[in-house]
Amino acid sequence: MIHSEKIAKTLFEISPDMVAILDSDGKIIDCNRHLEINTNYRKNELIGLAGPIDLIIDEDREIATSSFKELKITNLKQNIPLRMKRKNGDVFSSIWSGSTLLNDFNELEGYLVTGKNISETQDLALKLISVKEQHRQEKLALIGEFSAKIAHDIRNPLSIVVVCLENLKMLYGANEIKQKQLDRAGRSIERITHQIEDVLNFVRERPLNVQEIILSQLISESIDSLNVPDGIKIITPKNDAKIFCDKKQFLIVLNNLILNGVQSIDDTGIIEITINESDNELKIKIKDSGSGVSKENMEKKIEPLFTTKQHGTGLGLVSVKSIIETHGGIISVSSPPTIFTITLPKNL
Amino acid sequence: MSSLVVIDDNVDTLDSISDYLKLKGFDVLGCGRNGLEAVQLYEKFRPDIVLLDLAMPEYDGFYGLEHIKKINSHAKVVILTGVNDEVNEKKIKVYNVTEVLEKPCSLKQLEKVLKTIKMLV
Repeated sequence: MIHSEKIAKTLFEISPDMVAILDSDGKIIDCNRHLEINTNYRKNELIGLAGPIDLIIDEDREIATSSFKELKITNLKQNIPLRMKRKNGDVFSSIWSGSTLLNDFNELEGYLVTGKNISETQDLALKLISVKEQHRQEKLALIGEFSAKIAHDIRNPLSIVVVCLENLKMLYGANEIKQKQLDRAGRSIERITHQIEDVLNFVRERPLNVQEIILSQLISESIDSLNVPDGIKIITPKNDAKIFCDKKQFLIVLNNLILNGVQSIDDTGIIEITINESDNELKIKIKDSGSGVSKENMEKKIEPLFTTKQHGTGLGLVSVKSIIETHGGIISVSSPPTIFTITLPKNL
Repeated sequence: MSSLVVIDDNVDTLDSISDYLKLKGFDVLGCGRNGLEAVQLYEKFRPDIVLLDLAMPEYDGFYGLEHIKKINSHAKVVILTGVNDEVNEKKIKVYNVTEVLEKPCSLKQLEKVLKTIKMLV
C-alpha cells in the first residue's frame, strides 16, 4: 500500500497547476515546479514570499489580501481571479483557490494554495471570438453578394413584365374588368420590385458622391418615379432649398418615405412634404394622413426586418436611416399623424 | 412626336419598350441589339433620339455612342445603364450624352425625359 504522504507529494509535484504551501503567516514554505515555471522565479526565491500576494500586480493586491482574510475565516476560498507578475515584469492572468491546513487539534498550521494560469485560455477564447466574428462577417458579406446577384437577376425580367403590363393596359384598358386585372398584377409587381430595391439598397455600400441639389427637383424626380394611386394627393413644398447630398442615395430616402406614406393610406389621403430652413440646418418633413403608428411600434420602425405591413422586408427605413446618418443628419418619426422629419446640416 | 431608334441586347426589353413607346405615340423607326446596329440604324434613319443600352456584348453602348457622335456630334442619345459606377460616369461625360437613366427606370420617367428632349430638338 502506497503511503498517503507519497501520494500527496506526487500530486503536489505533478499537478499542472501552480501549488504552494504557506505557513500560518501566509509565507511560502514549499512550491511545485509550475509555480517556478509560470513566475520565472526559482524555488529559493519564492520561499519566504507572501504567496501569492507578493506575486500579484498592485491593482489586484486588495482583492488578494481581502480573499486571504476571508480564507482564514472560511477555511476555503475558490476561483479568485488575480493577475500575476513574472520575474521579468510580464503579467499573466490566473485563478487561485486556497484552503487552510489544520492539525489534529483543529489548529491552523498553514495554507494550501493552487493557481491556474488562464492567459492561454483567455487568448484562445479571444482568438475564438475573433475567428467567429470574422466568419460571421464573411458569411454576411457572402449573403450580401448573393442577395445582390439574385436581386439584380430578378430585376431585369421584372421590369419587362412592368412594361408589358403597361402596354396591355393601353391596348385593353377600355374594358374595366381587364383594366382591374392588369392593375392588380401591376401593383403586385411593384411590391416585389420595391422589396428587391430595399434589399439591394440595404446590402450595397456606395461611397458618397456629394453635389449641390435643388430639393424641389429631387422631390419631383422621386414622385415621378413612383406609382402613386389616383386617390392620394402629394402636396409639395411651397418653398425650395439647396442641399449638398448624394443624389442617388437621397432619392432612395425620398422614395422610401413617400412610399411608406402611400402604403399607410387606405384609399384616399394626402402626403405633405415641407421644407424648413435655418442658418445651420434644413428640416424636411413628410407627413401622411394614414392610420398612424402605435407608440410601441414607433421605436421599432427603423429596425431591420421590422414591419407591420403584410408585405415588405422592413429594410427600407433602415436604409433611409443609414443614408441620412452618412450625410450627418438624423431622422425621427412621430405619430399620429405620422411625420418623418429629416434634419440635415447645411454643410456636409 | 419624336422619332427614335431603340437599342438593347435583351430582345424582350427591346420589344416591350419599343411597343410602349409606339403606343405612347413615339415614332420608333428601328430596333437594334448592339452598338454596331445602333450606328447602322442612326445612319439610315437619322432619328431625333437614340435610346441606347450600355452593357451589350461585342459592340457595347460606348461603341455605338462614339460612332454616332462621329456622324453627328449633336445627336441626342439617352443612355440606359444597369450599373452607373464612377468608371462609366467618366466615360459617359466625355461624349456629351443627352441623358442617363439608370435601369430599371420608371416608364413615367422615360416618357418625361423623351418628351423634354423633343422640345429641345
